[in-house]
Amino acid sequence: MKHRSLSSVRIVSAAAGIVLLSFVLVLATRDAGTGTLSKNPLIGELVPEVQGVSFQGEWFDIDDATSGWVLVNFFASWCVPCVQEHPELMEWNRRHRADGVVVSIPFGDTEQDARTFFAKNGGDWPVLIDDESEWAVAFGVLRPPESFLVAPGGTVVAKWQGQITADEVDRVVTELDERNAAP
Amino acid sequence: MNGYRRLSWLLILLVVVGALVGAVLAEDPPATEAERAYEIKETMLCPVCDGQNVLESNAPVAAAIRAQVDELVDEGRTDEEIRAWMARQYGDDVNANPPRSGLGALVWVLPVFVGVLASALLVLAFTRWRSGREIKPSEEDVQIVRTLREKS
Repeated sequence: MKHRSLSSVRIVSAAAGIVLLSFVLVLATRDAGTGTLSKNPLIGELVPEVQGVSFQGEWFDIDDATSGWVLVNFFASWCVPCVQEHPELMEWNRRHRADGVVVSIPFGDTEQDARTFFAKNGGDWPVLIDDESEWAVAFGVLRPPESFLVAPGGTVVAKWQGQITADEVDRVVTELDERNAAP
Repeated sequence: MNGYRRLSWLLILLVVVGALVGAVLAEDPPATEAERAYEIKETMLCPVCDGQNVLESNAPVAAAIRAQVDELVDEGRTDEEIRAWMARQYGDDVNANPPRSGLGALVWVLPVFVGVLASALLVLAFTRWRSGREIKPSEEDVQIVRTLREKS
């Protein structure tokens, strides 16, 4: 009798152990969704449609810009990392005046606050308002800042969650340029 | 008499199962498109919050999902299309109701399986308990009682 109850205890303990181990495995292999370069279903896909009148009053269509690099940046005026990364966007924009453009889209912010943000911090690239949050959902944006690099031709090649630097974006640009140049 | 009792239990079982199946299947369709959008948002989880649906959450992503659900409902997209789109963008966990196929189907199947198993174990336990009450005294027990009675 004692032997039977002992083996039952062993079986139950083993089952509980397997369940706990499965939980640990599932949690350990899930994408934490943080860090710099992140996974995204958009990587390798054509960039979603982004078009409208910018803060400068000019019509912008992302399809017209994909002859070069496009850096799509979702930001908010209240978000501290967005304020901190803004000079880096300005630097990347300066480096790529000939072959690229930054596009900023306020996320979780009002148009007025976004306009004030740009008036205060500078930046002459297109800023577009995502009225129905269509672009934010199409890019799968979770929280600002998030940036997407679109290669010439219109394919999304990288996504960053959190604050970026011009050097980090250029590291990916150079890597892809070298890969494309290789025979 | 025993036959009537069994029939009564069978009828009770049928009524209970019927009521459960009816409750699951009889989902009233939403009366308006706004109600449909509300129901979708109610069963869609905010991807950056802990267990909050997008209706309750103040996170910007929840507001974005709410706005897009309204837009897609207006466009005439079905619930399944909207849920599939959001799951593609934010992962399967965005849908509060797990899928009815694949590994997610276990969430629906396991409770039924556990319920049936628990009922079967209960029936077994009650049967043993009842049969245990009907144990007849052994010859030795009868002899002890008889001896005691004779002494008194």
